[in-house]
Amino acid sequence: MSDAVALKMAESDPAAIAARRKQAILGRVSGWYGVWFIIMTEGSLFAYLLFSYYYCLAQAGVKWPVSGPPPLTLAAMSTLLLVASSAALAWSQWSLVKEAKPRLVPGVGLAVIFGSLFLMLQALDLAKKAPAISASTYDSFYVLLAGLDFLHVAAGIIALVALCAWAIDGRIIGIRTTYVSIIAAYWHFVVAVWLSIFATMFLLPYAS
Amino acid sequence: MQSQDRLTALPPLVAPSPELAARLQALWETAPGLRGFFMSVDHKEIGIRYIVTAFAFLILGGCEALLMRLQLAGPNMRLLTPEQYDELFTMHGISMIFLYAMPVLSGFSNYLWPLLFGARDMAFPRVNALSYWTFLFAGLFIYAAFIMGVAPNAGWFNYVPYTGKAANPGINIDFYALGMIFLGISTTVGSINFVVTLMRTRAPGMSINRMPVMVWGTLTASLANILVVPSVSLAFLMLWLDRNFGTHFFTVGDGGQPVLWQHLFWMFGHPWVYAIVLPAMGFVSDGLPIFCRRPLVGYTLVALSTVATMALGFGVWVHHMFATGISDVALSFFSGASLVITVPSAIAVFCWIATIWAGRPIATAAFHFYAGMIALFVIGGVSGFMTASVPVDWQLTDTYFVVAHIHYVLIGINVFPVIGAFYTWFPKMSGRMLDERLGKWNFWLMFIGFNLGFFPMHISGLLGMPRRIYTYSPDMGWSTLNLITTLGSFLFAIGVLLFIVNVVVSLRRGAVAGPNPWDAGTLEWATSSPPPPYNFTVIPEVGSRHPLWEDRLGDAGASSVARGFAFDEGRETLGTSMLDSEPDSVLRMPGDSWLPFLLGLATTFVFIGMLIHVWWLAGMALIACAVVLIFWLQPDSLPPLIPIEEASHV
Amino acid sequence: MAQDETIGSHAEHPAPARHEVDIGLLAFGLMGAPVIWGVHFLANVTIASRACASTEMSPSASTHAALLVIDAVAALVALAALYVSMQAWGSTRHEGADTRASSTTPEHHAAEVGEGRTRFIALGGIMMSTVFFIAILFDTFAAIVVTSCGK
Repeated sequence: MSDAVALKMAESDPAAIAARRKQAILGRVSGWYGVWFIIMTEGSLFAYLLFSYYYCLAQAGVKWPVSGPPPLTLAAMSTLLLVASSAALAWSQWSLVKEAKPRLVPGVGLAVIFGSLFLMLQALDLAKKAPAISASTYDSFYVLLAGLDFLHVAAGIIALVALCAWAIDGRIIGIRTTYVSIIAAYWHFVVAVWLSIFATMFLLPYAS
Repeated sequence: MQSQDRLTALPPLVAPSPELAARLQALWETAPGLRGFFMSVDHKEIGIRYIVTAFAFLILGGCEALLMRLQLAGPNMRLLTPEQYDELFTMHGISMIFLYAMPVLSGFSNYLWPLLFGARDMAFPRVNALSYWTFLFAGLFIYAAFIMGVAPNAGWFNYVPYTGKAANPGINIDFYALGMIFLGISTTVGSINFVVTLMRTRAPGMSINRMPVMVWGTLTASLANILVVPSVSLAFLMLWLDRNFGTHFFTVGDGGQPVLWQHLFWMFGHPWVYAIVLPAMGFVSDGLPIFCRRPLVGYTLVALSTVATMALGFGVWVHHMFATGISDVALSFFSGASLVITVPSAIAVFCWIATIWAGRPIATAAFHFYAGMIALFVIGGVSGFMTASVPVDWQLTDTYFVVAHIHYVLIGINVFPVIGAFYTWFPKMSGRMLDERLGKWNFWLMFIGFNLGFFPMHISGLLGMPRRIYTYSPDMGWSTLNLITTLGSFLFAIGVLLFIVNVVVSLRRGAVAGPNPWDAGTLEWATSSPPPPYNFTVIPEVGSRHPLWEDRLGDAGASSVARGFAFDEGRETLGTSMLDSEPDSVLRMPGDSWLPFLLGLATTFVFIGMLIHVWWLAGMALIACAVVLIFWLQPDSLPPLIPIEEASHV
Repeated sequence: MAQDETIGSHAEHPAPARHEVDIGLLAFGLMGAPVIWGVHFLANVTIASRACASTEMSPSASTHAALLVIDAVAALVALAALYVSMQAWGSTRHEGADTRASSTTPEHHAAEVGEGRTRFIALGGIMMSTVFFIAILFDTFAAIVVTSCGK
């Protein structure tokens, strides 16, 4: 491949790339396939973890947590923040394909801000709950679920910050806009994981 | 213009030339010396390292087994203390099942896949290197415990409450727990690499019905690993938390559920057992046709039976837990699935037998191993079928009958095909043939030794001998059987030793192989032995399942192997679509890199920090991992992918 | 170089009949039975385990009926997948027919049945649907004969 052609490709606009991909004459970069399998394996991890939680809950024979449903305010705020960050990222993905002047940096930047706020709220909550990790099986699960989610969100934030820096640097152009899809796929997945944790740990105790 | 029934746009076919080869050599060669050792991303180099490392663990695990057999040779022996015996049988299981069986298959697949696909490398060459380094470091991590005399000591399936802090206060189990999470990283990234390689880098025209069968084996195994490895990683993480932070996941009596450990372990464990035999069954499916001089009978059935076995394999985990008090109604479903799983396995066996029957078999050493595998698979399969029945299993569970079964299936369906694969593909890897006469001695010693050693275990199991006991009293009536088993296992070990001798001797003095010593039909035999760093001077185009056998199969000229695509303007390979392998892009491949080694090293320190509770070390190492990953993933100066139409206009 | 020459089309497409059978139908034929088997299996195990979790000696009649209904539905879906695969297999007989006709060796016939990726998936679907239909039958049989929780 000559550098001239490579450059031409690198500079061609994302909307054209999307159109040609629809005609199946343009494949995806390998990383795009890779991230789906990362999501599959990480999704399995949380599925096994939730299975373990429900298994122990069913065997326990009492309602968890024993002291009554946990307070909702902080968790609900966290949830809203995370959903907002997901939406901001989706907006910048949409603008990449649909708009002449894509608004990549603002969208990713907003996602980073909302995501970091979520992380801070979670850190506060974890700092409060972690010392009680050995109090009961419920507490152990609570800290493990929230802790693993925290790590996954933190990894996502690092990826988003890197993406933002590369975008400001002008390196996310042409076919490399796939980087946005790759990181966004992971980020939306992390949000979905949190929603399932939120439903299990916060909403379910109220429902039953 | 293009017709409907043709592949899409492609650059012109060219014939290989010395100038082209020289250009590719310059592009693809790994740096020389020690630097190259740490930086190499060549799948052939990594494949061989995988195989050698896995074999080293096989030898270690084998020596541990021989020590145990000496201890059990007669009643009331005092060669080993019970504690030493516990550590030995645990390390034996870990070595064989986690550090040998899967990695050796990954090694062969790593080496062979791009060659089978007519590609220049795997989809993620650096991930490939990472998966090797993490495997090596995780293996050394677990063996560090053995050297320090604190090896895991509660069996490879590590049941709680034996492994809880109360019953097992030492650091032994922590080594195993963290080591397994570590090893899981290697398995997972390796599996993802295999699947994406299959989706993206097959030669144009190699639709899914034209892939060699071993590809189906490794594909299903990899998909299974992606889905089930998290289960065991999670279980070991929870156990580690139980042991180090007083959590109550598996503890007894305060809300924790010991049986949950068994569920999580076997949800992983049973699919894993299939993952370590299906690729090996693929070796047989691809190896037998070479030595029977005809294509495999029932390609579609064998390929899909692999997938069916794996799918059913997700629903049989409770047959390891028939004796845990789960209700009969629930057990009966798992029993049904365990019985029905013999159907796809039997389909494969009948296809192999039909291939031998309808072919003109040449009794090479490799053929001996493949045929031997079929016999052992049938015996191991039948004993598995027996234990799939709940009442029979209640009688046999935790006896030597189960030990006999697991060794028939794992040695029969993993070790025998792997040695057969060595005899088949060693010439490709080294350029030299293994000695055939020595090979047949090697086979018969292993085959007779194995059956002499392990068949009597069925009987000692039926007589009630429990597994994992370190000795027994003379009036149990097991003494003769155990002596025979010990003799057989040593005979088997001599067979393995003979194999190693054969490899060492043949590396120096074996006959020169040439590109296609067996006159085989698939793409890996189209390139020189050993292959150049770029695998193929021109990337071939495939029009049938056996591109090199088309003349004699009445399909001459369907494929184009002698002429192909050059792609010589950078480290590039062809990207093709998933089902029909239609070319859509040129994929740019990374070159030599320090990053995989550094990431592997940093990850090692994360686990060392966690093991010895030096949190700043674990934290710093984690940050180092993130830094390496950012460097790894940053956008290159050139685009990662170029659409094929643009490539074809150059 | 003229475009017609460079846009080379050297090999026969591996799936000449790919536009004749909907890929979604092929996928259902191949994966419908294993997926429904997985779903029915998890449902059966969950229902049976819950029914036996209390002090009952055996699952109630309604639980038993639920298990059988799940089995019947799953069996029907597997049969539908089998039917779809057989249709696809039957309607694409011409795929790869020319290479079969020109073959001179009997080995070739054995090797290339299912040649053409479309037919490969269809035949694979017939096999998968059959195996998993049998698996569902085994479960149904288990649900009929095993009526005790085993306490």
